[in-house]
Amino acid sequence: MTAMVGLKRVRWYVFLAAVVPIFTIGLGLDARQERDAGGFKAPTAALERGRAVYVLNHCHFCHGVDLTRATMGAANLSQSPFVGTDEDGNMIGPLVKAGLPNLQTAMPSYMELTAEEIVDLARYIHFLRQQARFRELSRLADSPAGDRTAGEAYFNGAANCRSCHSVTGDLAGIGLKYDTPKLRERLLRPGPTMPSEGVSPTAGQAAHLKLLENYTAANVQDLIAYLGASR
Amino acid sequence: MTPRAYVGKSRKTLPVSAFQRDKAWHKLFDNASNYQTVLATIFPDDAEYPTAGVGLQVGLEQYPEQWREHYEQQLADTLSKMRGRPFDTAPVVNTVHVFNWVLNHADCYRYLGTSIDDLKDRIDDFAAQHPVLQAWHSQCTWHPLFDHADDYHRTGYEENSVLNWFRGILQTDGGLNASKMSLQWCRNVLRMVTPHMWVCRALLQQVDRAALEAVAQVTETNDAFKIALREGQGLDDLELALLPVLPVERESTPGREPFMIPSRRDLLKALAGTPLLFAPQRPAAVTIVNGVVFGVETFSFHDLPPAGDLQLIPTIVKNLQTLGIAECEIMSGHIEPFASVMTGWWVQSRRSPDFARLREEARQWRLTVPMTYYRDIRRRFEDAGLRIYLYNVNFNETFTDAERDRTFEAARELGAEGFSSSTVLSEARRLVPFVQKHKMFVAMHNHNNLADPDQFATPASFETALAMSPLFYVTLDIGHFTAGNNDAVAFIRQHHDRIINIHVRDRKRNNGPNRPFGQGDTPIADVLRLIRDNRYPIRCYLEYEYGSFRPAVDEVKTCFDYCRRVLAS
Repeated sequence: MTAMVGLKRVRWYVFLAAVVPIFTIGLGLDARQERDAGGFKAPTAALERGRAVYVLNHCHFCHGVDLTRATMGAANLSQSPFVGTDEDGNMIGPLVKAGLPNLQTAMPSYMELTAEEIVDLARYIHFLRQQARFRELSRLADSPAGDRTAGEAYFNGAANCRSCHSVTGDLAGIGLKYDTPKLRERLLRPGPTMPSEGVSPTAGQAAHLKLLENYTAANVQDLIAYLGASR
Repeated sequence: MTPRAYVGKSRKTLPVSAFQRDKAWHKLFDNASNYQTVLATIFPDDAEYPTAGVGLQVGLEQYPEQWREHYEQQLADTLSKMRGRPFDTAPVVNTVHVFNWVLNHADCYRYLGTSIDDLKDRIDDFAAQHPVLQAWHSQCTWHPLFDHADDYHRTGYEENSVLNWFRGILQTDGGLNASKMSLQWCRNVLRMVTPHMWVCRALLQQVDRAALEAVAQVTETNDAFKIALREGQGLDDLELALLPVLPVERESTPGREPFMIPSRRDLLKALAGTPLLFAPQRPAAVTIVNGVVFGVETFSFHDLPPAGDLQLIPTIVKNLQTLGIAECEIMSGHIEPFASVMTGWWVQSRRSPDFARLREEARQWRLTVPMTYYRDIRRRFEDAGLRIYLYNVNFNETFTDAERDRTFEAARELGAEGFSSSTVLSEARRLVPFVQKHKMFVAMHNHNNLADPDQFATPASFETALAMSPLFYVTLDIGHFTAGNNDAVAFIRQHHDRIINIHVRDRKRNNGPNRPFGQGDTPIADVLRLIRDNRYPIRCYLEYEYGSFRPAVDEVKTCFDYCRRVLAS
C-alpha cells in the first residue's frame, strides 16, 4: 500500500501519521481501481453487475457516479434516510420501478428491471453509500467532542451495540488502546476495507455496515466520547 | 423513338439531332427579353420528365451608367469584408456558366450512352481546353440552391453566410445579384464544393496548398487546377481546406445591421436539401445533414468538470470539435460558476436550509459580473468555429426583474439567438415584457410531469404559452414528450412554425427510461424525416441521457451517427 503513495504525499504521510490508515485507504482505492465513465469498477462480480444496472440505466446522470455528486436536484443517496432503511432493494425496488413522474426532475420508471437486477442495484447503491459515508465520517474533526451520555444512550438504544458489545466486556479499556482517530476508524470500519470475491460479510460486519450507512456525525462523536472514556 | 429537346425561355422544341447541330445558340440569348439563361432539357418520347439537360448562362446585365459605380463599389466592399483585405473597384466583367445534368439512374446513363465516369472525363476535357474559373462534378439527387433558369438563387454557402450576400453589405437597396456571376466574384469566391472539381489559379493561390493536398489530389492543366478528393477523405475535410475561398465572413461583425442577418426561417429553408455536411464558418457555423441542422444540448456532456472550473468551457469546445457539430444549446450551469440547481428551478431544492443564502449569492453574481465574462466565453466558441445558438436558462419565480434583464443581456453577449428554458406557465407570463423589451425569443422546454398544470408537458401547455407572445417558441423534447404518452410527430406537424429546436433523445412511453437511440418508444426516425422532407426550420439538438460506460462524447457521436443513418434512408 505504501508504494502507492506518491512522493508528493510523503510529507503529509509523516505529518498526519495518526491518520495514515485512512489516507492510505483513500489513495489506494483510487490508484488501484480501474475507471470508466461509470466510475470505478466494483471489487466483486456481483457488485459489478449492480454497477452495470446503475450505470446503463443512467442512474449516475442524476445521482452521481459515487452517490455524492447528485445533480439536477436529485436526491443525495449517500444521505437519504430512505436508502438507509433498505434491505436488498425492498424499499429501493418499488420506487425505481414506479419512478417519480410528478417532480420537475422526474425520475423515470424502470418497470423492465428484473427482481435480480433490483437486488444487484440495491447492493451496489449500499456499497457506494458505505464508501461515501466512510469518507465523510472519517474526516470529522476531533472537536467539538461528542456527548458521552448521548453516546451511551445511542450505544444501548438505537444502535443496539449492546447486543454484541459492552464497555465492561470486550470493549473494556478501548479508550487506552486507541487514540481518537484510530478509534473512529475502528468504529466506522471494523471489518475489511473492501468486499472480496467469494467472501460474505459476517453478521457483525453486516450490522456495522448498516450502522455506517445511517450514522449521523453527532452519533459518531458521541460514541467516540463514550467509548474513549472506557479506560 | 425520337427524343426531343426543349429549350427553356425561348420555348423552342426540336429533335435532339437538330439540337445537337444547332449552330445558332447564341441567338437564343436575348438581353431585351432577359434571356440570360438557356436551359435545354431532353425528353424521351414516352417520358413525362426529362432525363438530361444542358444549359448556358451568361450575365447580360448592362448597368446604367449612374449605377455602375455603385455596383462596382458594392462588389469590392463585399469581397473586402469577406476576405479581410482590401479589394479595389473594377469594372464588373461577365462570365459564362455552363452546366449539364443527367438523371442519376442507370437507365438514363444507358439510354444516353454515358456514365458517371464518362461525364467526369468530359468535364475534365472541357476544363483542360477552356481554362475555367470554377467547375464541379458531383452526384446528387437534387441541389436546389444554385443558379436556376427561371430565377436567381444563391448557393448553399452564400445562403449561410453571416452577411447577406444577396443584398451585399451596403445598407442600400439592391444587391450583388448577377454580380456574383462576374469575373471578380468567381476568381475570389468558390460557390460549390464537390469531390471532383476545378478552380482557377487565383482561387488556388488563396488556400493552403499543403492542407488541400492532404485531402485531395491537385493537378494543374492549362492554368486550371483539378481537385480530386482522395480516397478515405470526407467532403467536410475538403471544405475546411477550401475555407479561405468559401463565402464566409473573415471576422465577426460587431454591431451588424439587423437586415444583414438572414432570418431563421430563410436560413433553414435555404439549407433544406443541401447534400453537404459542413461547419466552415464563424460565427454562424452550422452543421447540416441532409438538410437538417444539428446541434448538441450540453447537458449531454455529463462528465464535464464542475461548474466554475476553468477547464469546463474548453472541454465543451473540444467535445463539439470532436463531434464535428458546430452549435450548441448551453446550460447556464456550464456558463455560471455555480450549479443551476442553486437558481431555484427545481422546486425541491428551495426547501434546503441553505437555499436562500445560495440563491442570493447566485443573484448577486449575475447582477455584478461584467459582460466581458460572457463575451470571453463567446470568443472561445467562435475562435473554434463554433456557436452558442441557445442559452438554456431555467427562469422561475425566484428571479428578480433585474436578474431577468441581466440574463437577457448575458444571452446576447454569448451570441445566442434566444433561450431554451425549462420553465413553467406562471413564469412565462412574467417573461412576456422581457422578450418584448429585449427582442429575444424564449423556447419552452417540456418534461413529462402531467400532474402539474403549470408544467410544460402537454400540447395544451405549449399552446397556452404560444398565445402569450409571438416571441415564445417551443423546444420540444421528443423523448420526454413520448414518455408523457404524447405524439411528437403530430405536434410537430401542427406547430412546426413555432418550434425552434427539438431535443433528440429516446425514452420509453409511460414515464419510461431513456434508452440508446432506436431502442425506446420515441419516433426519432419519423421526426427527423418529417423535418427533412417538409424542410421545417427546426434544429435538432442531440441530448444523450441513457447510461454507458463510455465517455459522453463517444455516446453523443453514436447518437449522431444514428441520426445520420436515419436521414440517409
